[in-house]
Formats: sequence, C-alpha cells, structure tokens
Amino acid sequence: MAEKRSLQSRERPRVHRLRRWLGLFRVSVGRLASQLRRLPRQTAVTVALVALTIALLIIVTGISAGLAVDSTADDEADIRVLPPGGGTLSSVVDVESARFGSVHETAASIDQRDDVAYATPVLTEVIQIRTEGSDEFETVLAMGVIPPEEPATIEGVSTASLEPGDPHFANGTYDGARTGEIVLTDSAANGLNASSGNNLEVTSPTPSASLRQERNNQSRSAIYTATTVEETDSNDLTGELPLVMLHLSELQSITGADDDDLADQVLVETESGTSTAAAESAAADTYPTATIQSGSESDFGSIRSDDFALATSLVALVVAILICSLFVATSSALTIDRDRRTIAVLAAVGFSVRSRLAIVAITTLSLTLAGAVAGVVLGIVGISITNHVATATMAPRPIATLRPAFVPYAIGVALLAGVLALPYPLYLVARTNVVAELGR
Amino acid sequence: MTALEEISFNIHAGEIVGLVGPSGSGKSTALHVVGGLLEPIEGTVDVLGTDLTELSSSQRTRLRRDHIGFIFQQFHLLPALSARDNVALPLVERGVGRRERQQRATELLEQVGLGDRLSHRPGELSGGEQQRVAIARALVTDPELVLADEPTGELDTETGAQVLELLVDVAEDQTVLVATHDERAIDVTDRVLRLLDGEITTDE
Repeated sequence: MAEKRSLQSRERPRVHRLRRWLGLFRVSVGRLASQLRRLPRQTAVTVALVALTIALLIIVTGISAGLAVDSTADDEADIRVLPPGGGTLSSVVDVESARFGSVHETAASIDQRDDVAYATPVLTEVIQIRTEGSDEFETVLAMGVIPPEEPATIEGVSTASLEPGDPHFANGTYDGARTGEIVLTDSAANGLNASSGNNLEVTSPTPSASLRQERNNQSRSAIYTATTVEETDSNDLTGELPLVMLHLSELQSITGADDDDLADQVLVETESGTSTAAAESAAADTYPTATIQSGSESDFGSIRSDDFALATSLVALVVAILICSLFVATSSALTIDRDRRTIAVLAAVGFSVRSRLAIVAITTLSLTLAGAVAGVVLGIVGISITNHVATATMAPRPIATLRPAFVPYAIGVALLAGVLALPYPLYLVARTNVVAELGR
Repeated sequence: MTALEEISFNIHAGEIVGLVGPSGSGKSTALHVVGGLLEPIEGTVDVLGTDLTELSSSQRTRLRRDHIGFIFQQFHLLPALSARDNVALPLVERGVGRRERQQRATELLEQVGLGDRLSHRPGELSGGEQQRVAIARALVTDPELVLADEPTGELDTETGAQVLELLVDVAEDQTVLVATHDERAIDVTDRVLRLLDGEITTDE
C-alpha cells in the first residue's frame, strides 16, 4: 500500500488534475441522469423553457437577418460604379452622358472575384414596345443587364425569370441566340395591356439605331416574350416609370450600344458577410476615373433597416440571456435544495469546495446545453413555419433566413446565460451545512 | 446549547473504540469533531499528529480525503451512482484514473461480499447491502482512521451484527471509532468510551 501511495505521489500533477476533472465530469453527468429520473417534470420544464427561449431567439434573429437581407436586396447592390458625370438614369436625363465601354469583359473580371456574388453592367435606354398585333407603340425605359446565376433584384426588378448570362453577346460578336425574354414591371404591363406570356414587338426610337439595323439587314424590330410581370414598389426610384428588363446585349443590339459594348453603370454585389472594401478597390482598379458608391452611401433606407434589424436581434439577445438565466438559476437552485445531502456527502468524503462547485456548475451547464440544442432544432422548425405562414398570408417571399452561424450563436448565448445563472446555485452549495444535512 | 464539554480521550493506532451512549449524548458530535466536520469552540483535536483547530476548512477537507473514512447511519450513498461508482467516489477527488478506481472499488466490494452487486444502484440494494457498500467506500482510500456513526442504526439485529463483524474484519489495519447506542457493539470493540450529556463517564 505504501508503494502504491508513493507511486501516486510521483505522478505528474497535470495528469492528476486531468483525471480528477474527468472524474468530476462523470459524477456530474451521473447526477444529471439521476435528476432526469427523479425529477423528470422539473428537468423537462427547465430544458423546454431554455429551448423555447433559444428557439424564439433564433426566429427573431432569423427575421432580423431576413430584414437585413431584404434591405440589401432592395438596395440591389453593395457597390454602384458610375462613369464620371454619369447617373442611374442618365439616358433619360442626358443622352450624351458618359458611359462605360467593353462592359462585358470588365464586369466578368470583377464577377470572378471570390468575394463578389455577382457583377452586372446596367444599360438604360428608352425603347418603343407594343404587344403583337397592336397598332401603337408605347415608350418605356428598358434596362439591360446580365442576369446572375442566383436571381437578384436590380432597380426593384427581379432577374429570376431571365436566363442567366448573356448568350446573344457571344464574346462580342453579337450573333449568339437571342433569348427573347423580357420582364415587364406592372406599370409597363398596364400601359401595354400585356401580361405574362404575351409576345411583344420591341424597337428603338432613335433613328440612327434603326438605320444601323437596316444597314445590317436586320429587322427594325424584334419579338420578345414577357416572362413575368413584376410588381414594383411605388416608392422605388423606377416604380413610377414604365420599365422593362432584358438581356444587356439584346438591348445593346436594339439601341446601337453594341458598337463599343456600352453600359451606364456596373453594379457589384459582394458575398454575404464579406467587406465591400476589396470589391470597391477592384472596381477602382478597373475604372480609375469612375465614381464608386457603396450601398451605405446610396440608400439611407438600408441603414435604417439594418439598424432596425440589429436592434431587434440585440433586444432578442438580451431578453434571451435574461430569461434563460432566470429559468436556469431557479431550476438549479430548486434541484440543489433537494440535493443538499449529496453535496454534504461529497464534503464528508473529502471533495473540496471547488470540486463541489464544479459538479454543480457542470450539471447546470449540461442542462442548459441540452435546452440549447433542443432550442436550435425548435428554432429551425420555427423559421420554416414562420416563412410558410408569412408567404401563405402576406409576404411575397420568406421573411426569415437561417444561417449556419445561428447554431453556435444560439448555443453560445445559452451557455452564457447558464454561466450568468451559476452564482446563485453556487452560493447555495457553498452555504450548505454539511453536519446538519448528514444528520437529517 | 453545548453538545460536548470537557471531553478528552486518546485512541491508539489500530484500536477499535466504541463511543457508546444514549441519543443526544454527543456521540455524533464527537465523531464530527474528530472528522473535521465541526470545529470546537475551545480545546484541541489532534488527529494523526495534526491539530485540526489549526487547519482551515479546506485543509480539514484534504485531511479527510487522504486519511479518514466515514460511515453513516443512513448510508448516504449517491442514488445516481452504481455500488461500484459509489465506492470509487472518494478516489475521484484524489485524481485516480477511472480504470484504477473501478479495480479498487471492485476489490473492496468483493471483500464485503458484494462482488455480484457492482452495477446495482443503492435503491436496488437492501439496507445491509447498502451499509456494506458504505463500508467499502470508507475504506477505498485506505485511510488510517475510520469513523462510523451509528452504522447499525437502520438495520435489523442480525444484519447489524453482521455489518459490525464485517467492519472489524475489513478494517483490520485501521483505527476505528464507532459511535453507537447498540450495546452489542461492545463485543467487537477493543475499548469503550461511555458518553452522557456531552461528557465521558467511563473509559473501559
């Protein structure tokens, strides 16, 4: 026996401590399992309340993130690259304003960056359009874009119904297949008395463009099919104008802007969560004299929306931490009240105060963790239900988003709440009268 | 209220001493003082060459961990743990590895005749079996001193006698102080201290 003791005393303290902590962890888990058996209802209520709080946190944060995404979507792009003296609607305000050239190539070079979700040139031109068989042309504003792979909203109009890319461009030859797709805004559709699926005749009102088309033995007009009618927000800049959207090269061909591959501006959307600084720098390298506006400069509404989303999620965070802490502290204190004798026995067999506190802390945090995991599952289901209900009743698209970062965030919040809940149960443990409990 | 007054006794290493007296005579209090669970207002308590009154609470806990085993009237086993894990419990605080803890606990349980009850929880054991588990737990750290507070109090006569016999058998290398009001405990002790109203009346 003496030999055994001497061996033990020679063991490295770190290994000794590690074994002690592993042992304490096992005792804590055993205590938690016992609590589940002896007090199933109280344990279930604690886990359920923590889960409910965390689920609500995830749902509110998801809606906040959805609001933030929406505000970015309404803002269409993080970066707007404008030629010196150019503007969003320069073709309407001033037909002679500066434009970018070779925009397909330059936009593609920006688009290839890892931190860029998409980059598209935007050409705005006035065109004439009429439904097939109608006598009268309507003048509308046309917007030529390169629809990205993932649908985006540009000037309030979604690219979802347009084929991604720009096949007619065909590396600058402009002899690729025309898609014949055109998106109508509701104001344009009303003016034309057209709806989705209608064929439309499109032509340029500019004589030079028409002459050029005739010179090239091309028809003066092209036939397009309305892929969808987009309801645009009347508060949007373009909402009051009859607006249509089509592929950039097709609009360039109609209006004569294909000579130098022209566009009025380039919009760049960065990947979610990445800084716009690198993309701004890339745009500045490509267009040294251009005016570069970041999303935050171009739309105050997005700041307001983002601030609102941030404030909402912060309030949810604070409320979740407070409520979770109170639930966990109350439940843990109730459990300790029933478990004082166990704590006294641990003291009697030589467990230090620190070890006794550690056992209670591990048990409490494990319970919180169980609630957090259940809450994450519940939150994910809750977001699905929220989106389902929202889209079925009032919202045109899902209002809440779910991101992988929500999982560690929610678990971290629950554990923080658990840590904040610890002082009260630990105080009860430290105050336990060992002799009185053993004699009870 | 004063539980113990002017009490003084010595126990030699290896002795089995009975602290006998009626309920309320101060037996348990004396045991708790010797075990460092209570601190006397006056006087000294010298255990294994250390004056407990000079030690802090955490130092007394360490002394208990390393040198003293406790046996209680109500067994005080942790309901969440199996018999083996209950026996191995004091080794956790000493930082003994799991395999060694289990091996040592199994040996002790076999010694007290419960080799076939290793995985049973306290609720699945009889009173006598639970007290035997408690004896194994008190001895698992190989302490120099074993303090038993009414170890037969919750047991019937025959089981109580068996438990006392077992305690004396397995604790042959230890000093044992048994607080009891069971006069039959005298048969297994080397010496008896009789307590009445917090004072030792006889040392026989």
